[in-house]
This record gives sequence, C-alpha cells and structure tokens, in this order.
Amino acid sequence: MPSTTPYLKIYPEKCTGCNLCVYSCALKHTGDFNPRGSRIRIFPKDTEKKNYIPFNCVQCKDPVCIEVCPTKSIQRNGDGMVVQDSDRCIGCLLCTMACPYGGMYFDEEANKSMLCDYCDGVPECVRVCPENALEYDGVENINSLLKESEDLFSKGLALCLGCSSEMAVRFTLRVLGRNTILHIPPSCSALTAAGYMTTPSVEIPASVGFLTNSASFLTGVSRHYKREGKKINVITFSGDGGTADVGFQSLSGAAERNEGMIYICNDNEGYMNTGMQRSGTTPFGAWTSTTPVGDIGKGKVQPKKEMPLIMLAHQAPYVATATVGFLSDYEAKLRKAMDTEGFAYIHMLNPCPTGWRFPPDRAQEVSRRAVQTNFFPLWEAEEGKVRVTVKIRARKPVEEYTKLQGKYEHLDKSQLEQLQQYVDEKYIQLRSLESLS
Amino acid sequence: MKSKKDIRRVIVGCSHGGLAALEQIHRLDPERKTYILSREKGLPYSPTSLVAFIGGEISLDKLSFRDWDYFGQMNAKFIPDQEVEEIDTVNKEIVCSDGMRIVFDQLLIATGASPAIPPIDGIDHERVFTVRNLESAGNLQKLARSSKNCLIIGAGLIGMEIAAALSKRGLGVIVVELLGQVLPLYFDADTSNIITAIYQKNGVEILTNTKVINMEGTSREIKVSLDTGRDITVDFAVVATGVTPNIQFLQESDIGLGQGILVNRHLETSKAGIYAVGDVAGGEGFFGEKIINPTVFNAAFQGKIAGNNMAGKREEFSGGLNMNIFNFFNNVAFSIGQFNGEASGEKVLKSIKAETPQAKKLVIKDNYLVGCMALNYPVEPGIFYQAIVKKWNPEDMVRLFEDDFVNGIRSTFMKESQLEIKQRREE
Repeated sequence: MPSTTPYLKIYPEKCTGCNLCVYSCALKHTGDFNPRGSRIRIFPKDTEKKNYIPFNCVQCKDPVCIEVCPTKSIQRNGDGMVVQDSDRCIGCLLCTMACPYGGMYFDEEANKSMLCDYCDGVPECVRVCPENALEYDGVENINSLLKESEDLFSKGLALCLGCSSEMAVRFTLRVLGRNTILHIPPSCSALTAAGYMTTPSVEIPASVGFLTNSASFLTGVSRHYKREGKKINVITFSGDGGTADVGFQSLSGAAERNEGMIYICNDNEGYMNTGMQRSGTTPFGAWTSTTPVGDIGKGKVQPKKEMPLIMLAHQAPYVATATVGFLSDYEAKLRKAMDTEGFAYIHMLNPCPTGWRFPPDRAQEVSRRAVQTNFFPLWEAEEGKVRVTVKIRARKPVEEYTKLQGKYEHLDKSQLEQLQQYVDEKYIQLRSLESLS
Repeated sequence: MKSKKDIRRVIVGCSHGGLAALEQIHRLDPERKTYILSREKGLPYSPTSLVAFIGGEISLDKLSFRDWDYFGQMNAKFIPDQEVEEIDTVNKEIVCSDGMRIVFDQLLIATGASPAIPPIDGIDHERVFTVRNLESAGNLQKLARSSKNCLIIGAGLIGMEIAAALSKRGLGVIVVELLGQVLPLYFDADTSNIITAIYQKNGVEILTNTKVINMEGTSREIKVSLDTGRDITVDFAVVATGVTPNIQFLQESDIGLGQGILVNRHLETSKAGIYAVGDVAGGEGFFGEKIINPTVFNAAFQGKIAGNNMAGKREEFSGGLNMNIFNFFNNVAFSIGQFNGEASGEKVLKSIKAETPQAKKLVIKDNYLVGCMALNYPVEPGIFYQAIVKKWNPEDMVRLFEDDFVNGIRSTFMKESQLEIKQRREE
C-alpha cells in the first residue's frame, strides 16, 4: 500500500519561535490559552542562537506508543495514521514515556495523554503560522466539507472501476450545490449526466450535447439566465478531446467573448471511452491505441498540448489547473471560479485506470505523483496573475510518475530524458510567468 | 533439518511482550502462522489497565486491548484459556494443563508475573485482594462499590495507583509500607515526601516504617494488626508488594533459571530457539547489572527485539532500564535509570520545590546522563530515555537545569536526533 499517512512538514529555518501555533492549538483543543494543552510544542534548536523547531507527533513507522498502550486508545486508523481515542485513555501516560520523539503529551485538563489529530485535516497551527513554517502534507481531509454538503449523485454509475472522473464530478457538484446546470459533451464524464440505462446519475438539470459545441451551448444558457437576472452556476465537464481538439473553436470563442460559465476540462489524456485514442493532450511517449508501441512506434511523438496556458493567453479572468489528488486545492479554485464574473477555466488531470493502465485503487496516488514530479503543476491565474498553488520543495524525477502507469511501460532512457527535460522546461516557464506577474 | 519454511513459532503469553513480538514477526514474515497461547478465557488485556478498571475510569468492555479480528490480521492462531504445564525442550513440545501438546520450533515465553504474597497470617482471606488478573480486579471493583474503607499493603507503583483510584471513588484508604518512604524503588526520599504530602492532602493515610503482622477476617470486614501496635479494621485489603515471575512451570525443565528466566542480549534462553521477554526475563540491564524489569516498556521493547530475532533479523537488546511514570491526582512524576545517584559519586543536579510541588533531578556519570527524575514538569520523558540509551551529550540540559529545564532537554534532543527522526519517518 502506498504511504498516505498525513504529517506536518516543518521548515525550521522559517520558525521565529512566536508560539502562535502552540497557543492556537491549545485554544482549539481545550478552549484555553494554556500552552500545556497544546499538541504542538516549540523546541529550541539552539538555545543561544534562538533557533526554534515546531515539533509534534512525527507519525513514525514503528510506533512504540501503540505497543505500550494498555487500552487500545492509540491505534492506526484506516489510513495508517496513528490516532488516539481519548475515551479509552486511562491517563497512565505510558505512551508519553515510550515515545522516543517526545510526540505524546500530558493533557492536564483531561488528565489523559494527547496526540496531534491534525484537526481532522485542517490543522489550526498551519492556518495561523505567520511565517508559513508549517505545511500540512497529507491526504486532504474533506470530511468537514462532505458533512455539510449534499451528494448530488443518485444511484447507478456506468463508469470504469476506479475512475477519477466520477470523484471529480461528484466533488464538484458537492461544492457547487443545487444551484447548478451541468452540460457534458460526449466524453467519459457524460456517463455521469446520462446515467445508467435511462436514469441520470445527477440530481440537477443536466444535458449531454455534441462534442464540438459545449461552450456555445453554455453561452446560450448563461445569457438566458443573465437576462433573467438569476445567478446560476453554468458548468461543463468536457473531455480533453472536446476541449483541446474538436471542441476548441467554440471554447476559444466563448473565452474571447468572456461568457459567464465554468468550463472544466476533464483531462484523461485521450479519447478514453471510445477506445483510448490519442488526443491533443496525450503526453509525449504515452501509449494509446492510435500511438501504438512496437518496432517502430514508441508512443506519442508530440508533447502534450498546453491547454491551460492557451486559455491564459485568451485573457480569461480565471484559469487554474487541478487534480483529484489535491481536493482542497481544487475546492478553493472551484469557489474562486464560482465568484468569477465571466469565463472561468479549470483544467483537471483525472487519471484513468483503464486507459493509463494502472490498478483501480491508484488514481489518487498517480494524481499526486503527477504534481510531485512537476509533470502537472497546480497553479491558478486570476486576471492574468499566475500563482503556483502547490509548491513542491524537492520534485521527484518524472520516472517516479511514469513507472506507476502501463502506458509508459515501454519508455527507454532517451525518451525519459526527453520527457524530463520537457517537464523541467515547462515548469521553469511557469515559474517565470509567476515571477513576471 | 527443517527448512526455514516450516518453522513453527509459538508464543506463550498474550500481553505487551507477546503481542509486540507477534507484530514484529508478522511484519518480517507475514506468510508464516504464529500460535499464541493465553491463560485468559477471553481477549487479551493489559494488567496496567486493571487499576483504571478498579477505579471505574474504564468499563469492562473496553478493557481488552486487541480485538478478535486482530489475530487474523496478524496471521496468528489465538488459543485462549490454556495454562502451560511443562515445556519439553528435547522433543520441543509444550504441554498444556488439559493435556494438549503443541510442537514448536521457536518458542517465546512471555508469561508475565504474579503478585508476590508476603508471609502474613490470614493473608489468604477472601477479603484480601491482589491485582493481577481480571477476575480479582472484577471482584475488587464490585466490593469497592459497597465499601467505605480499605487498606493497601505495599506502597509501590501499583499500591499507590490503587490508593489514588479508590480514594477518588470516595473510599477511606490507608497505605502501609515496610520501608521508610513510599515508592522506594521509583523515587528518591525527597520526592517521595512530596508525593506522600499530596496523597495526604487527598485524604489517603500513609503509614511508612510499618509492618503488617497479622490479618484476621470475618465475612464482612478484616482486622489488620500492625507492628506499631495499632489495629485497623477495614472492609477489605489489597496486597501490592511487588511481583514474582511466572516460572513455576519451568522448574522441571532444563531452561536456565535465576530470578527469572535467564536470557542473553538476544533475549534467547539457555536453550537455542527458546526466547523470553517481559516480566519473566532476567537479563543484563543497561548498566550491566542482572535485573528483571517488570515494566510495560521493557516488555514492549523486548518483545520487538525477540520478534526480530525469531524472524531471522538478529538484534541485540540494549539492556533494560528502570523506567516508571506515575500519574496521581493530576500530578505526573517519572523516573528513569539510576536516579538514586548520591551514593556512587556521580554528579547530581537536584531541585525540590515542595510548595509548587515540583522536583527535578539529573544524574550524570562520565559526562553521560545515567538517571533522571521529575515531578510536574512539562517535559517529554521519552527524550530522557533516548538521552541515556543513546549517550547524548548532556551539556545543554546541565547548563539550563536551573533556569530553563524544559528547553534544556528539548534542545539536547534537537541537537542529537535530527537525522534519526527523518529516517524514522521514511524508513
């Protein structure tokens, strides 16, 4: 199983020792400003030079706290994360002594031991840190959002096992809510709107149109509601073919006219539901049924069409990239798109287990790895101002991404080098755009 | 010669030590089935939680610290309700009390310890309890509900914890200790005095330098006679005068015994393939002395190492350290290693504040930390253990001992263990 345990990334060089994280943690968990109630502590790195390191449970691989806990209060949860059930804790404090890293603390108020719970995925310490010395690295916990919002999918789905498009559409509708009209051209995600047999899978007005004219169609819908004075989320979930290839002229026109819509490109890098043919966004070296691998063919020869940059060049008010592996990042972008007056474009990379050839339980991992290797950087541009939203400190070689997928199985060294060079160049280009704006 | 594939591993005892070993074996050799025997009828529980159970802090249904699915996940066959009678080291067989025989290639003995019963007349009365298994704890808990007062013999960690738990339930509690201070093995005299004062403030009567000479029970109460001439009549009494390792079933066998089962640094007994961990294992301590170290930490640490050794990854135990942590009336005290350093000519840093109440103490020998003790400081005790075992440079903690004890410890930790933390997460 891939490691998915969340933990707190700490940048000691940025920490000034202000203790804001400590106090806010104590306040959140105990309702009091007593730093002893905090699940995070500031350790001095060097007492003379006033260097500090914020420190909490490191989520080690081999936790002794679990072994010594006499009541099963400390356990690994389904994600492999070490968690504490304070109802079971009897306050024996054996864990505080067994932890070699000083990550378990004594909670005087409750007379129990306490362990960082990452605030259910939204760590308070990360939020308050003025120096950004803390960063949360983990599977995004969207529980809080999911609890509040409504699942607009009805029963019955005709998508492949492990398809990330389903998750993308479902999550999108959770964020957007019922005040939404969905239009999907023929594509994988059309199956969410068309549904299984005769029942649509979504509980909002949805239509499936032609491959070429989604943006034109939405222009009409959007203008109608504008004239009626209603604020409705008009969105499309178009495939990459319907966006980058045959649907491009209507998209380009709508973007140029700055029509009010949210255009989401569901990029799975090919015509996946018609037999996995290549599309404009199929990346260099990838196998598809029309870029076969054999004695002569070695996958696609051309690089991936840079749709988000093309849309940026249309001077659309909001352009962003997103992927299912970073859902809270996506959520923030979706909300910005909702608030945008005019045209908003989100390019989503949604890994396809069937067409990319990886096991159905790995879509999240592939998606995250695409970002970690800078193969698919996450960024947004508000009114042309580019900002990379998920910065990768030490990018992994692109091989770490390609080796997860069967479609890259054949890649030889020179092809990998070429791909790596391409990825690096594109990233430098993006960062220069960021620094220019 | 059997191939490695056919090795049958058996663990006797299903508490911290046995389970830590089981988990380690499963981690390294998940294909092989392990057999684990328990004396108890149901799921395993930790003796540590019994005190909290008596005190009513945790209910019976939450007492087991593993569930039924667990053994399946660990690829283990759990055999409850089996008392081991004998171990046949020649034929490599375990003989259980009901006659069942289990053949093994590798055996781990983690049978734990039982309360030591001092020779006092009348101590076998039904109103005298010990705390080591669920049955006695259950009886004690029931009786505590309808009782007004009790007497505890022995002011060790268990005795003092029960005293606190019962006192919190509203019982009048008297603790009788043979020696001149409470917790003699765990804290020095000054700290013990502070602890005694806290107990007295909470209504617990503590009688040190006192010996119980006779006990006489009726069906409703028990009369305890002390050597000071005082007679105390209470509803029930609890004996907590230490533990003895459960090695009776080995007396006939040729496994080397001392105070417990003698083990080497690999936690192997005198017979190859037979290991022992936890409260039964008498091995070399961290400072080279021969000790039995009946703590949960020791059991868990040793269990991991024995598990590694059994699964083929040779590893040595660094030696047991005396480690204790004690939470009483919302105060936290702990001690590690050779904290009673005054006698042996080591450098001792000590500060006692009875009014706060707080106490701290570091014992340094040859520029290494060898022992420490603290009461009511918000430090992370696990760090001290590392500092002793890994022989960290104690410069910062010595320099900041008076002014900033907590940060002195933490900065030592940060200086010495940075790399290791990173490895630990990524390994």
